[in-house]
Amino acid sequence: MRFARVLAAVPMPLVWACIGAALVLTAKKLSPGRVPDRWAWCALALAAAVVFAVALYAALRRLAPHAGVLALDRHHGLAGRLANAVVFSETPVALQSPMMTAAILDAHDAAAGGLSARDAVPIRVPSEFGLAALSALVLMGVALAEVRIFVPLPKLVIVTATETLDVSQDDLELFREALRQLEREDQSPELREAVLRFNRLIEDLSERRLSRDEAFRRMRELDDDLARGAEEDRDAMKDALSELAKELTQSDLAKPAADALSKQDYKTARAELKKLTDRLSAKKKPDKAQLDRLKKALDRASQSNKKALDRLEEKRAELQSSLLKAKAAAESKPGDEREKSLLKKKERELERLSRDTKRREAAARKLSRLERNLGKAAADLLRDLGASAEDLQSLTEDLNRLEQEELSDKEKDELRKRIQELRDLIRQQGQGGDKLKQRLQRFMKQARGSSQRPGQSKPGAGKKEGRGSDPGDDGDLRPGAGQQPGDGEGEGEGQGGGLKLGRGGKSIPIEVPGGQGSSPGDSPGSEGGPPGGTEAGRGSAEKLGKASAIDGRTIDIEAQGLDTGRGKSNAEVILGAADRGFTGKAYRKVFKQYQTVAEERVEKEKIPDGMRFYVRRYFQLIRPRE
Amino acid sequence: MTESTDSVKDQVAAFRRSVTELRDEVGKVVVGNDAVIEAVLICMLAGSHALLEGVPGLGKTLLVRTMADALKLEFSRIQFTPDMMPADILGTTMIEDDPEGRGRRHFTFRKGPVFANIVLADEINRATPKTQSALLEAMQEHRVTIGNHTHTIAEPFFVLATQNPLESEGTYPLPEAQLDRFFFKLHVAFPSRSELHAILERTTGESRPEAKPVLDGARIQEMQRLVREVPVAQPVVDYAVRLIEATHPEHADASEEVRRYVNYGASPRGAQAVLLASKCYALFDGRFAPGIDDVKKAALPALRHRVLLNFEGEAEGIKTDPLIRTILERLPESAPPSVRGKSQKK
Repeated sequence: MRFARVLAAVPMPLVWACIGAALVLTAKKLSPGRVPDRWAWCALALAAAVVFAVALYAALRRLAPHAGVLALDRHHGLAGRLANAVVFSETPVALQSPMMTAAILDAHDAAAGGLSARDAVPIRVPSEFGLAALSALVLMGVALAEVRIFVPLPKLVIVTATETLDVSQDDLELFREALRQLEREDQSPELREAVLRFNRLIEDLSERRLSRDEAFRRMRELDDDLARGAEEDRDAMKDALSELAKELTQSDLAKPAADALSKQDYKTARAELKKLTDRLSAKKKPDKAQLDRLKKALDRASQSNKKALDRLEEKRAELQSSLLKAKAAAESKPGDEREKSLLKKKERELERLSRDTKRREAAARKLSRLERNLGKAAADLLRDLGASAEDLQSLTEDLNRLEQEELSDKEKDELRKRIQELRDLIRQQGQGGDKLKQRLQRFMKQARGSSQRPGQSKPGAGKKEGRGSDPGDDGDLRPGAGQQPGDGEGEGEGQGGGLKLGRGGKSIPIEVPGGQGSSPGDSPGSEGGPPGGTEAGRGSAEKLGKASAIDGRTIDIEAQGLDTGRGKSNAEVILGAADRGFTGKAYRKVFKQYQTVAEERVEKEKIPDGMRFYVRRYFQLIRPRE
Repeated sequence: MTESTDSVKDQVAAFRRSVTELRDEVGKVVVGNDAVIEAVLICMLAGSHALLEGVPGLGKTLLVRTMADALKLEFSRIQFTPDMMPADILGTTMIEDDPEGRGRRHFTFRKGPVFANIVLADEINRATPKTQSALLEAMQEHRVTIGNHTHTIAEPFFVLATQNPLESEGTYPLPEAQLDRFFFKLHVAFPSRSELHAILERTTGESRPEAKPVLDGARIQEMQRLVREVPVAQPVVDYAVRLIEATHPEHADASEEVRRYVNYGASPRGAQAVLLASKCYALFDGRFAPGIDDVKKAALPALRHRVLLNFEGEAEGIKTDPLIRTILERLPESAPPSVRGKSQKK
């Protein structure tokens, strides 16, 4: 009966469990990423547990009393005889009535033919069993089914030939020029090596042998090597020299040299030391007290850095001991944030001090020869003033060497600036893309004078000289509009109207705000005013007509493109250069003038380095071509 | 013990014989309606009363009259009419002259028709409720109280009432208390074709069959005692109890239909009727104890007039028979222990 009950109870929970498990498995197979393995296993386990629990409950649940005999009665048509007999037989015999006994005997007689429990409680397969079996099959099918999910693979990056970096030759020429300025015979080997590396980089870029990444990598390496501790080392050197100078200041004789040293003015220091050497070598020598003070000052100066280093070391040791204590305190109180913060602070302080010590040691190494010579000079001063003079002479050489080193540092900075500029340039090219590159190439081509602009007629042809009735009033295109002093050849005539040439030689009326030249340039060799006017040009409204009117009267200008050798105004030269390319003697001359002015201004004005580069680059791009 | 058992067996066998004789005798006159005859016998053997319901002309009165003829018992018939008074049934006190002629008069109680062994209350629902109620005490306690005097009715006392369906004109529905006093309510069905043939054959011929008395009052009382001696096993009692509970709409195990259509469930008197009737069925079958099937068999006639429908049930024309059948179908024969415990508690 229990088994029959289990059979009856299990199918429907089994169906639902199978459906649930199949759904979870399907979800898992279709989107493995969304359903974690753990969830899928949990769902399957839960389904199995539910079925098992239902079966267990059905099997273990108590049967109704006398359910078995009632079933037998029912099956054998005994009209409750067996059940009654069983119940009555449970009654104590003494309490059994004759009727009960008769009922028991009657049941006995009725059951004499044999009872069949199997027939009475047949194990019937419930109607839902088929559904349950089907669900189990579906679940099995889902479990065995292989779902192929097309996972889009990440796009393969096909590495073909690395795209090489194309930097314009003009730009590279600018950097070559900068490198030429940096090259010196007496350079430190380190700087020479750096310049060489940068030069190689420029040549590789010129030969288009480098990719963008490679170029950046090499620039970074070079920059890192140059930058390594440069600033801090200089500070350390300055500190060390200050210490040294401070000791030397104690002596009246050495004070001028000491002051110069403290300012790192090696030239003056050298000169002062030379004077001192001369004085010591002279017949009339300083008095003994002065010499004693000098001796002491030289002696102390030779020891100054050692003392400073000792102080630093002492401070470092003290801090290290304090740090150990703080560490112990922090470990004893793990939760104390204040202790932790204090510990971190001390650690940072120790790191800083260690760095300072190292730098100072490096500076001391550089100054060691100088100090040694100072000590020697002090010792010799006691014996013989002549010897000490020689020592001071060697001190001068030391200072010379230090100056050279400092110069190297400045050159290093300069080289780093160039690297930064090159980096900006390449980055800018990357941002502009092909369009910018093409535009630049087109410009280069035109600048070399090997092409004609579309729609342009022969250089200079179809143009006539145009002049304003009052060139001064119309404004002048030229910045400054004047000629350099002594430029007697130019027939400066102001180009009127602020007009530019259009395509095909046609004129386009455009009002260009231009400064009014202080001199119309009508007299050869006249003094030019400052570049640029102070206000917008005042074109004649009568000539121009209304700005918005199509039929406004315009002034046609014709720039003569032929080099007659008679000399032309700068504007004519520039205009001609724009047509023919940046070639020709006249253009070179004008360019030189303009570049000189621009460089002077750039140096004088407070302009950010980056902006200076743009100015230089501009001039580099418009430089005369051979 | 063996002797006692044998004696019991003999008694049961004699019981069956008596019943068979009575059935056969009644069957001589009444055609068909075997179940009704059996049910009437059960009512009589259980010491209670029966209400026969059926349209006029189905032989209700004939059945009761034949039964009375087959028994050597005093029989009276009361034809209920709307103007009938309780005194017409119970009897009345009259002033009588002294029979000895001394010129004195005294009050004498003149017994009514209720003072008989078998009373046929014909068309009981034609009387007013007041008159119908006159039978209450007599039916339950087998005595009649008039004035300060209580008059006992001789045993066995058996009221067989007939009534037309309530839809008939000029009828008064029996009050619930009155209905509850009837052991069974029996529906007399229209005879089948063969039965109708037999009826016509027997009743339209030259001679009319008559029943002869086969049992007397003493024997009936013996049989009634034997019925009471029949033991009932606990599962059967439990089933009867759960059956009664299932007719109550407020009970937890009541079906949806019961909750919806039943106003009041069967009374404990209904449970008594079910159990006593099941005992009778067992004895009729020669068994010494009733089974659950006997309870099921007794359920319809014993409970159909005790389950009172509510307004919705009445309005929707729900009959109690299908309702009880549904309960019987759904009620498990053996309840789990927890349910049994709950039933016993109630």
